[in-house]
Amino acid sequence: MDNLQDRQDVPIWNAIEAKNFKQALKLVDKRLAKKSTDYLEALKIYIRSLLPQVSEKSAVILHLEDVVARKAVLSDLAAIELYEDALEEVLPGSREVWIKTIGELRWRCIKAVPKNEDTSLACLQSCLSRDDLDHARQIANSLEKNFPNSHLYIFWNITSMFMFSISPQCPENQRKIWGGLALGQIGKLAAATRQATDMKQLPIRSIQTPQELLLLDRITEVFGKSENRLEYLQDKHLGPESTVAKGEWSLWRLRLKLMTEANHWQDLFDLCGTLLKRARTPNDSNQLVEASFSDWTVWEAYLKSASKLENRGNYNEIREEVEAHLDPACEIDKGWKRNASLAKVKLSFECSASFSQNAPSIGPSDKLSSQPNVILDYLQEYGDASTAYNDIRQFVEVLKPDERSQLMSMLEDNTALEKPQQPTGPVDPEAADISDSRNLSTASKITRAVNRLKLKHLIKSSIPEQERRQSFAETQQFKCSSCANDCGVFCRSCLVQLAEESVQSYRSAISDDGQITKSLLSTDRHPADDFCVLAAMCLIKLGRSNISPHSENLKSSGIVYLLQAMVLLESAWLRSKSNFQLSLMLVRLYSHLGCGSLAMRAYQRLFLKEVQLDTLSYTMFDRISTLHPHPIHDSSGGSSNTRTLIEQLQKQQKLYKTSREHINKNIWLSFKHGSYNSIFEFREVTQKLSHSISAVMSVVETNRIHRFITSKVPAGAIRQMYGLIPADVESRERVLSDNNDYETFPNFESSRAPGFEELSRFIPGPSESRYRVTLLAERIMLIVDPSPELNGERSILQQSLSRHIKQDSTSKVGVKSMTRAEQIAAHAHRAMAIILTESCDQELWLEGDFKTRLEGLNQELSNRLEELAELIGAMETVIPAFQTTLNAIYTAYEVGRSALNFCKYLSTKGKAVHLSQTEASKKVTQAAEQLIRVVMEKCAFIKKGLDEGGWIDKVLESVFPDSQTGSELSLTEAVRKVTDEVFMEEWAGDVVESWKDSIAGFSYIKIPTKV
Amino acid sequence: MTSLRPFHATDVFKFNPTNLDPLTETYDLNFYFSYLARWPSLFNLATSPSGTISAYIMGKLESSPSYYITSAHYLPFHAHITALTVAPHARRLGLARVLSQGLEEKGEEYDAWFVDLFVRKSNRIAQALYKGMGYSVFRVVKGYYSDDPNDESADGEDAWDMRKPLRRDVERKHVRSDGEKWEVMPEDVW
Repeated sequence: MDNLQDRQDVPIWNAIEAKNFKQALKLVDKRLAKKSTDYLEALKIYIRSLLPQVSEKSAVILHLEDVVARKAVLSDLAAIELYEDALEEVLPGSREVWIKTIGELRWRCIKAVPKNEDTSLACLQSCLSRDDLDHARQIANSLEKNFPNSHLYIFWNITSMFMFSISPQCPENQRKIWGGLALGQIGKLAAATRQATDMKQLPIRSIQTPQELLLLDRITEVFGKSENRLEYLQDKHLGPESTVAKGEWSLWRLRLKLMTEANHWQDLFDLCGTLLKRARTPNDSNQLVEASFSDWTVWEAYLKSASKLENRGNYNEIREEVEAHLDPACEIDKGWKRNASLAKVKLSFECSASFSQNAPSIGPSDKLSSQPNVILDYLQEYGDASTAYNDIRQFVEVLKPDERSQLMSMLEDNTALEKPQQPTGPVDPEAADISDSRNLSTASKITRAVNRLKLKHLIKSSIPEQERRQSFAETQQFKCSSCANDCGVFCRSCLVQLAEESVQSYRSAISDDGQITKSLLSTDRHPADDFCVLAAMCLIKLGRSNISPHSENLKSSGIVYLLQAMVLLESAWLRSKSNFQLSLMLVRLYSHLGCGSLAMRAYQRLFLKEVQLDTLSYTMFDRISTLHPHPIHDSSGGSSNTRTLIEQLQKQQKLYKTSREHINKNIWLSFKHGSYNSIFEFREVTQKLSHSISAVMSVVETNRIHRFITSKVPAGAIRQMYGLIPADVESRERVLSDNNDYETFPNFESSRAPGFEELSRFIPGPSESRYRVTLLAERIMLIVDPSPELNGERSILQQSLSRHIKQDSTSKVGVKSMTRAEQIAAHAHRAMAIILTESCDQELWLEGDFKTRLEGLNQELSNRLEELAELIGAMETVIPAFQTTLNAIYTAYEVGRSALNFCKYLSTKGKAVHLSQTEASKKVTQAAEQLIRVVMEKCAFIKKGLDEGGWIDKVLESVFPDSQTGSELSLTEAVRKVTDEVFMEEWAGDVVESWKDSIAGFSYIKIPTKV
Repeated sequence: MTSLRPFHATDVFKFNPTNLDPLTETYDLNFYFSYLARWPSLFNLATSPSGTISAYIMGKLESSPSYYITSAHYLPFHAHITALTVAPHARRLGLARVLSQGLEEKGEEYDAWFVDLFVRKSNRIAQALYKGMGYSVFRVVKGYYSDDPNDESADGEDAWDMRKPLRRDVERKHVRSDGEKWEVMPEDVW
């Protein structure tokens, strides 16, 4: 009863609350007969919107359109709100109709009562929440005009104009008008600030806050000139140094960036020098209040400007600044000192590039000016921090080959890496074990050793791999620059050696008599984890380089390496349960080996929530319907682990809905608090979430799982689909947003090489092109779905399909983003899409070659179904079933089933379908049935194989094979020593159970009932 | 390297290196965005050379509402550290210190009395860090946290309300030397 206006309305609202809508209508009519008001008219429409009849719902829309068409002005906000509620009942979430009707009524209301501030604010908030930017702009303008003493409204008007001008809602020919107006107005405010004599008493119409300065920059960036941006940022009243800026760091960053872009090298050099000096200079209270000017951004700009100026004197100034920062008497925080140390490294490299002869000394002796030594200097000082490797990686990458070898020798010798007070010298190989355990007795020693090993991996493995990847060699056969052995892109010998060293170091570190291991809290991660991660990375590379597409035998060396990686990671997780990188790698490995339930166990250890469901759910749910579409056996217990796949995907989908509300709420809050920059950032988040490829994934996977388990997609899931997939997604111009987080995977690779997340993909990763293809397939499957629940949806889906086919007439299917089975399925679905569209288009029948064309399409469809059957039939080594096998089987089954539904659907259309389709459909049916039979035979074969005994022993034999010799045997032995028998047997049992659980889904596979 | 910048709304897509850690809670977008809407200059982060997020701080500047002024637990205008988190790989680099110093400077600029924060009673590492930066325990909030990440069976965990006085508090009215003896309930904390 929020909208109650009059005591006499109480019976009407009581009837509404009792859901007695007929009575409510009768009562409102009675009141209307006595006295017609806008409120009562709206109340009547609201009641009609609650009625179930479609005719009533249509009447609501018609009435609203009529109110707008007759230029009615409703000054009663309660009436508009009732209309708004009515529209929401009829067309929930509808944006365009809302703008045309409610948005327009709200704006007219403001025009009628412009001095009513509360009404204006309510309407502005409402328009912003519906992304009705044109009306919002007009209301903000009205607020500014009618309340000229409000500083806030001046900026609301500018913000609204600018927001409208850069939105897709703004007609192309109006962009410059509104953008130009926003620029002009804020420019005047900037001028007022510049001209002010007293910065403490600025006029209302002036820029007064850091957020207003950021808005000035944002608008000038889009509609002004870049020199104006820099001019503002260099102005004493508007720049970062001004009273108005209140030291806003982002304005400094912008100023440095723009000076760099404008090639103002001397000014930039001087500015950076000044800032760095200020950073280390105490104020009157002896405090370093400007220490944050030692930010790496400033050092980088300082070094860059020096390199552009090519004046040796500048480098000397930088060297002096570095020394001043590193002077023990300088009390600047260690975080900032580290920047100076890193600048020292960069300085050495920059000097070398600029003055290859006679580079200025940057250390106490000439020896230290050699670049590998500069790197070692840094490692000596900061090698006990995990970030040292990331800090130094970029410099190692630019070393010449002989310098790399020099650094490698130093790393191999393990000399000069410790801080000077620690003993150094060659290691006695016989005492290696004892020495290792002594050296790895503290967290900082372990971290130093980890950094050393990561650098060895970089020099020995990652950099050469990238060089080989980029070479134009046709054969992919190379001579390894590290070990001189023959190799492919990956050098087996080097990787085995690195993996073994990592495993041995890991074992030494964890065999510490409880010094570190036992003192770890459950929320801590073990400092030696990265040894294990590095070992697993090497093993995964070895696994990848030793797998042929059809070889999935547990005895193949590729699988041996992958199983060893899993063992290491799983055992490391037991000691370090908070290490999410271990879990991310395990999700990927278990998925690849077809262990869906174990992948889910590892995934659930991540405890993903809220926006993380958008960014990381791809790790588990991308292709879940072709890995494990049936319910997952819960092996790990705990309430959070008992969610079904569908529930987990629904949880993700809920995120998108609630996020919209949260963002709208905070856009308004930002207006109220004058946080203009945040408004634009929030809008960007809205855009990213509303076009998220992960949202598309969740919808498609949900529908597929429903279809697989119950043979139908519930109406609720389809409504969810409409709510989540943006209407403009069909347009090729509309890019889906890939918000997936690929960076949180561990990555020790060269920064010039693909990240490890990409290197460890056994099947193609998420991609926009694949999701577009799956959306097309989804539409077809929904159209041909025999479920009566979908009757209401079919015509809408069919129209959307026709539009899609017309817009995208190419037959291109993204090859790289799909497995072979998915590619064939995509071709089959595309053929179905065109047949569905064209076989019912009687205008096309008149075209001379129509029949031939239709026959061609049907032939293409049959061929693709046969091709899939051949693919499945040809898969030989399929026990146990890994992801590639499961993906092919489930994909083939889905296509076969949708082809059968497709034929069934066309057969129900009678004469609406071209006559020749009847015969063609028979052939397609035969091919589809044959495909499903082949799938079922393969499933039976796999099941029979897995039902045989001895699988645990087979897994154990595969992890620790007897047949190995040399370095591989040595590696295997190292892995064996990290684990114990009890762990191994339990783990192998889990793996076998998981394989069995994965194929339990085969029981859902059957030939659908005939027509 | 140490490089700071303001937290942008789109950083919520990239904060997994900090937020996958069990000691860092991930809230709904409303939580983060309400801070960006109200105190954008107090929400900052540190990045790694590759641009990934290594640490971030969320802060605010406020006092208890005026209707609370007669309460013994009334808080005058102060800066508050709502969240300060450092990714596991970026710990022991001084990032927490430089980020919190930034908030302290804002507190000074806006003439706040003190900076305060809550920390789990079991989080000794964080407590040592804060003590090293001049914070001391002002009071213990019993059962402030509803969970205990180190003990799944526990009902919850106490919080230490720690404070660092700012220049305005010349007489050190808002800090205590024996704060660990002062216990309050969660409902007393605004």
